[in-house]
Amino acid sequence: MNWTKLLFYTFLVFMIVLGAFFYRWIFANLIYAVVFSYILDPFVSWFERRRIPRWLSVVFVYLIIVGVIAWFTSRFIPDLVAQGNYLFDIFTSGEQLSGKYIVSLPFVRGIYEFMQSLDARIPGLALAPKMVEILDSANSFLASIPKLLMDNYQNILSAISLIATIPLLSFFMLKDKYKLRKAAMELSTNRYFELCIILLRKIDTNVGTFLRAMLFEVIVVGFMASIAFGIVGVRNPVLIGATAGVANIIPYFGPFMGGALAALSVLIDGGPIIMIVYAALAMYIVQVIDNNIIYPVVVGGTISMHPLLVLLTVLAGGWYGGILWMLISVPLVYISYSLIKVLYTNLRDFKII
Amino acid sequence: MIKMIVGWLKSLLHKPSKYASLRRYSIFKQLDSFELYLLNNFMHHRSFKQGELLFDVGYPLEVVFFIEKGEIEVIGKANPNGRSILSKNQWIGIMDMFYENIRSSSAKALTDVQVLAISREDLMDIIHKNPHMGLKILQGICESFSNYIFTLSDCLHTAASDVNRPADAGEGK
Repeated sequence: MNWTKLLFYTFLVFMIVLGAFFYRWIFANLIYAVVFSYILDPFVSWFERRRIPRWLSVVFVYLIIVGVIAWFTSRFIPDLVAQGNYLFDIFTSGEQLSGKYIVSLPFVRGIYEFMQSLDARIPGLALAPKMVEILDSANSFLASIPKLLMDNYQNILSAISLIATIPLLSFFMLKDKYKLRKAAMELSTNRYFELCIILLRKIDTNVGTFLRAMLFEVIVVGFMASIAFGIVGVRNPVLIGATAGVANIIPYFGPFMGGALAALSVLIDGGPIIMIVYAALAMYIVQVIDNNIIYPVVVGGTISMHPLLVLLTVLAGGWYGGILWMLISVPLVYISYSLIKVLYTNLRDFKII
Repeated sequence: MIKMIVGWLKSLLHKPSKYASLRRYSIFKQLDSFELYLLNNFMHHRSFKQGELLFDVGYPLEVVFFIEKGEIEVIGKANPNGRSILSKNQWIGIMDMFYENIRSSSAKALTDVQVLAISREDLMDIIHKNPHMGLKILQGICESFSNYIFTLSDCLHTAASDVNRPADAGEGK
């Protein structure tokens, strides 16, 4: 190899590493902005096809989003805030949720009494006091949340300011989508040009379709769960329904989380045990509609993974990085898998390997 | 004076399209300036050195090339006489696009070449999402196919008469 060439490429790699190090703090924001752009792109393109300049199309879409958020805020936020405050008060009151209070709740009392009977039979086991202790420590953690918020207000403010940059980054990504694509393609050599175009399209199609389908599912399941919990009579239906909608993204485990939250709400509220059954039934009906109508139509077409693999992926994601990774592990694995498949097929077809 | 102002305003309204150069390819000749803008969004500029291979027989067809500058030698079964030389304002790949999506010929740059490249799927997407524009492009493609068939037919006639001529002469003897 030519020494000048080698020197140049070494310098280039060094500069790229240096650049990556310099910009490392904004990588997460860039990824969020890309996700945001993928979701909005079809709407921008719709306006653009109606002969509206692309930058103006982006402005229109942003204005519509602001309008929807304003409407949503005026319509639902007061409810959400009231329901959130109610739960927050319970968590932070200390007295209401002390270990002693929780074990007096109808359903938990049964478990507590069973533990007490075990303690009586097996000397030195002391399960029941441990349960009260664990509940007390959980309660004291929840009660410390406001203090945590106050102590970390600077971090929270900086997080909010970073989040505010996402729409701005997305604006430029949407406006200059074609320029960015062209610039990316210019990096490829002639030998790999067609292969890069295939990969770019695959990423474009898979990521875009999957993200939009997911968002749609979250909204629909959130609405359905809110209505179902409202009909059943669970307290805070909007908040719990919205949480169930988001949790629903996690395959297999998500629906249980929504149901568990509804059951917890019934327990805290001191409602009858039969209400938990009703809430579970409501969540089950929502799941049946989601699994048989919404998922196959909206998301099913975008993903085709064996259920066992999905389950293993979710478990691995959960072990690796908690709930966030449970949410993103399946799409990440699916996209990586389909990219590798396309890459392998095309490397062979183009006689590169 | 008023005439001048009106003329200036008119010139502002009827600015020559930035992408009008794409009309030199006959399949895009009917597109208006906005449609050319949409098309240009998906076009990539590529340069090939003399002797460089653009693609080989059997490669998957992902990209259609429109020649801006230079000459390209195309060797394959879809060409009359098995070989043809394409130059400025011609294109490669449209025919294979509608037949198995596999390259039926190989293409090599005879001189330094500059081309515009568009993904087959992007082109089909444009046609699907903009039916009016798509109709104009498909009409252009049909016209070019029709010309090609007649050229091919002429070649076959010429070849057939070349084959028959020596035999006739022989009989005459």
